[in-house]
Amino acid sequence: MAEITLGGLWIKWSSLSKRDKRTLLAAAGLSGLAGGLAGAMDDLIAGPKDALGPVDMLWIAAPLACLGGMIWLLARFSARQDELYRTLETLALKIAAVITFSVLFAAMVIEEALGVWLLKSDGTFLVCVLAYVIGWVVATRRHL
Amino acid sequence: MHNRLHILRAEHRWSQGELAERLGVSRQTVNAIETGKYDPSLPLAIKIGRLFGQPVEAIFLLDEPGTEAAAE
Repeated sequence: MAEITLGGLWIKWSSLSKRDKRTLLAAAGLSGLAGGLAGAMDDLIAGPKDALGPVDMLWIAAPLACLGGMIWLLARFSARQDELYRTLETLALKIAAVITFSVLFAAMVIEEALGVWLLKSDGTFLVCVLAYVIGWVVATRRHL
Repeated sequence: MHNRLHILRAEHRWSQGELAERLGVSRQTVNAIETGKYDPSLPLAIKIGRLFGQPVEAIFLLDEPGTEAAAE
């Protein structure tokens, strides 16, 4: 069973079964692949030369498919853990959702009012990730 | 809510890890229950009761207003 360490920032590797380790490594691999594909796509679309031509839906779908696979693997990982882990994860996701929507709404209002562009697509992704990390830290402080 | 889990575990001379293994949860979960930071689900509470051969309400005690004063 997974044990949370570093105040909710990490999982104790030795507490995981071989299957859990494989699942997490595969999820990390898919995450890296999604990032790489998204970066390559971004370069091709926004680069100086129009290398990609008309945007191919396959290019857009590829990183999303990787992210979907990663989420599926993480969901399977969670399902194998005990109830405390799942409670922490649920709380972390709720906190992350509140933070993400608050930040995005505030950014949208500021953008409308001041006419400045605050969050680009990668900024939005960063907010989501940061909010999820904050969610885990808060959930861990509450229950552990 | 508070509980007598650490007392029962000590009576059986089990470590938190051993109890966790018997219950099919992590050591952290046993620790969180013992320290009162986490209330177990009903299935887990029943499992704990069965393991120690006691009813759930004998292990998990509800903190009701005035309980401590009444006990004193």
